[in-house]
Amino acid sequence: MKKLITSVTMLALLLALLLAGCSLDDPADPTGTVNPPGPGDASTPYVAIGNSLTAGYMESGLMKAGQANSFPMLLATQMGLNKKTFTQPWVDAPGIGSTNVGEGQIAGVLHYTGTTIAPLGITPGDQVMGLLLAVTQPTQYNNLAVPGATVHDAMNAFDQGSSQGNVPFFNFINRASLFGNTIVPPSGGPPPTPGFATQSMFMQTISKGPALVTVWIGNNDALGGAFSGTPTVGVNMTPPAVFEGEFRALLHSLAGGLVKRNGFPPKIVVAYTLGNDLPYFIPKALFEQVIGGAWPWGYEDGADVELVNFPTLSWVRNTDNQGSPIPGAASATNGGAATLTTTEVAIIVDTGAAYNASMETVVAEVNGSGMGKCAVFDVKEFVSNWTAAQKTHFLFMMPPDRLPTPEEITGAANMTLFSLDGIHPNNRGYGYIANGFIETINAAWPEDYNIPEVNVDALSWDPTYGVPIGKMDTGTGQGLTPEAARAMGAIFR
Amino acid sequence: MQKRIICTLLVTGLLILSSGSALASGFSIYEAGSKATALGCAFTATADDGSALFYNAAGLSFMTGSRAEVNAVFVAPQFKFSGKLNKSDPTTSTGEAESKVYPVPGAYYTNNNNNKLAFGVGVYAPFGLGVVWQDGAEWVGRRISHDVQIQTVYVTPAISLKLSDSFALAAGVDIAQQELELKKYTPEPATGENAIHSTIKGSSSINLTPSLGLMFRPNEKLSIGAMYHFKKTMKFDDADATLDPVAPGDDPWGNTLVGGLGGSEQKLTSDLNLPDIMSLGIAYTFGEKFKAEFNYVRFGWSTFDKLALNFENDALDQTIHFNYEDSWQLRFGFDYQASEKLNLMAGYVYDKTPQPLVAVSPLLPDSDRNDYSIGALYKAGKWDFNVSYMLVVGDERTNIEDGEPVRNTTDYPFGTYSSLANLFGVGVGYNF
Repeated sequence: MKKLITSVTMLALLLALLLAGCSLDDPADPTGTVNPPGPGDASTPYVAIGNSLTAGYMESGLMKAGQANSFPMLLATQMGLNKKTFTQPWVDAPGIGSTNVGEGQIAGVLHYTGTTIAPLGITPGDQVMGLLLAVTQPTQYNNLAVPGATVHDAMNAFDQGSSQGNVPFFNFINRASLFGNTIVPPSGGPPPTPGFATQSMFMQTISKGPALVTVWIGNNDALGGAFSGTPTVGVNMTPPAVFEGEFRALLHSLAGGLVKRNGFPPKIVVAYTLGNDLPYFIPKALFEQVIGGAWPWGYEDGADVELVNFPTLSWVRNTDNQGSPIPGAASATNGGAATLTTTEVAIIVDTGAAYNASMETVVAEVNGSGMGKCAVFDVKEFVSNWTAAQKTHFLFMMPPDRLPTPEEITGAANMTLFSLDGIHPNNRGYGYIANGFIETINAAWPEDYNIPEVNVDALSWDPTYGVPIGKMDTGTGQGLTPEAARAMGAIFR
Repeated sequence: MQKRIICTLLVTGLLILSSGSALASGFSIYEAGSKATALGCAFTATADDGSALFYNAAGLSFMTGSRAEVNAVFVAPQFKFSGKLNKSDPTTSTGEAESKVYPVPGAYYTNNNNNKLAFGVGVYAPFGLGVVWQDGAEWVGRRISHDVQIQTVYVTPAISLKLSDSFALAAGVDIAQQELELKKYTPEPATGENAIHSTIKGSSSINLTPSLGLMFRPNEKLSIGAMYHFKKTMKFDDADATLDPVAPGDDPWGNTLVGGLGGSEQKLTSDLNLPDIMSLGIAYTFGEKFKAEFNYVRFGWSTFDKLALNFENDALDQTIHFNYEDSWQLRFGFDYQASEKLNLMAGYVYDKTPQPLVAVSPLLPDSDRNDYSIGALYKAGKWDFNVSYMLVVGDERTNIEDGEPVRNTTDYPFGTYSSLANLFGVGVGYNF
């Protein structure tokens, strides 16, 4: 009996324990012991904002060969990133350039044929989606630059229709049509919840949350006037006061948005706009040397002409134009401007200088606010230090009356730093630009960055794009095909 | 009668196996029997009931007659979390796993009517996992997992040869099959809002590996045993993945992504490695009524280094890295014969986690554990009944080192995980 009582008691005790179980206390919150967020905690190290010069535009078009050497890609590579960790809107050959080559046709990049410059290929508009190699990438690109973008576009444009210049590149870089669009007005400071669907370049940068941003914007605000042949502030050039307001909104919002998103101030490199110190703008004397003397029928703009635009080479080759003075503004034939007078050049130079002064002012404001850490890269000054040969158009290095030898092509390709469109650098030129950014970054934030420079000598540029050079076009010399000239006339489109 | 009982017990066991399971270091479930659980699963040198087919099949040679039994250990795990998604996250989040009870079954038949050769077959579940976080769509770790279920069934037939009165060797075959289900959310990259809910579900093909045991009993008081189960690779050759946009009509990002991947329904293959298990045990009976046993158990968890999910659509391929390390357990069991019919049992376990800190995640926040167990066995004629209780106390784990999250990503939350489990076991056996 005693054993039975003991057994029952033990079993009852055991049962009570079984039914009771034990419960778990809440763990203490340990997050207070964590270091505050810093650059290493950013969801991506680097994002680039800009226009064609940042996108890797080359030979008047966007194509993977040029994009692989965009300055942001080169910079990212030196930072230890790769094509998976630094993404771009890759475009397959023959690339996407101008829509000016025919109804529903998209020109590819230009290439050198041996005597002339011509599109590498032309793609029907309804097939252009097939060239977009990364269009369904489900995250924002790291290189968000859109050819043709203005400072206003950087904040506001999310597709072709919302861009100032009706630029279709926004459609496949911002991708509002693919991933939807929710317009979040940028006014009023940083966006509360930036999303992929808030498609502007600025919004996507906030969404991406980088530790470092490069901002090279404003060239189209000034050079749009230069390409028109009649630069007029307020008409085809953004007034400096407007530019300053737009840039102030952009940089303050960018810094504020990123410091809010990341919890630490972003580092932002602001690059100044370029001037007209580019092969696209041919000094009158050089132009007349190339065409074999002064144009017998003169210039529409008169004797004050200082610069002749590059596509004019095609215009003068057209015998139908003999007997007419070289036009001073956009024409139906060459699709763009032809000449700039001394007064017009001064407008361009002064406006660009005003933009750069505004940028300096705004950078100081943001640095003073503590929301961002900004540094300035004076690209205009940087490029002005390139040698004359480095700024000479490749075409002018070719023999005018015979086919060039392979050595002559290679020698010229290794000399000039500009691509065939005369505005955008070639592979090696972008390498130099990347090194300019790297020097700026390393100097501004030595505690965070020690990025090795790009080995520019290892970058090569082939202006033929692998296409065997053809026969000499007897009697015409080196020049441009009409299609190439039209493509260049809409060089940022 | 004997056949009916055997069939009834085995079918009962198989039915129980269809339910979920969970727990133990890594995701092993060492509690193959309720009586063994009461002894802290220090059972390799004793192995005197059907669960010997797992703990040491050589124990069959020291049993008499035929026996059938069914066990169920009901595991009630608890997991809690406090931390953040990333360093920029302004708010601290907490999380708690749903209160679920997972039955871990065991059904066994043993026969030692021949003094030389004994045999048996067992059905049990030595590996399993179940972690379902409350409010899965809001849970801070939902990008890794909000619901994971792994169920592994072993069927082990074994024979044991008694080479002498004191020594036996056993060999068996572990026939295993596994079910896996993993659910998580993929966020819209910028906003962090849930965009796609994905479910991966699959059944492995059947895997066969050997198991071995030996038992040495030089006298009535001392027993020494050892067992070894080989490592396994469970192959999932035809698993399914479903990618569902969370807001199908109002989510261009999710719809575009799923559409670009070829639709919601995807196929994948994967291999999941299970560790080898080795146990060395020694038991000694003090006086007439008190027996103590000690086991050293080693798991070859280093084989569980990753789970590669290979989709037909390569864009979806991903590898979950676990980087587990080999681990060990120290198990102590104590059995007191209170009367001819009643035994009282207790046990203690120190269980070293195989999980490195970097792998602590919502999938399984594992930790070193201390287990405490008690139980009782009651004999009534040919029948015997037992009950057991085990408390598993996991150490807290904080995946922060030197002020930095060990895994500083946008998907893995950092903070402190805590865990605890209550195990309730019951078993019934019939001796023919």
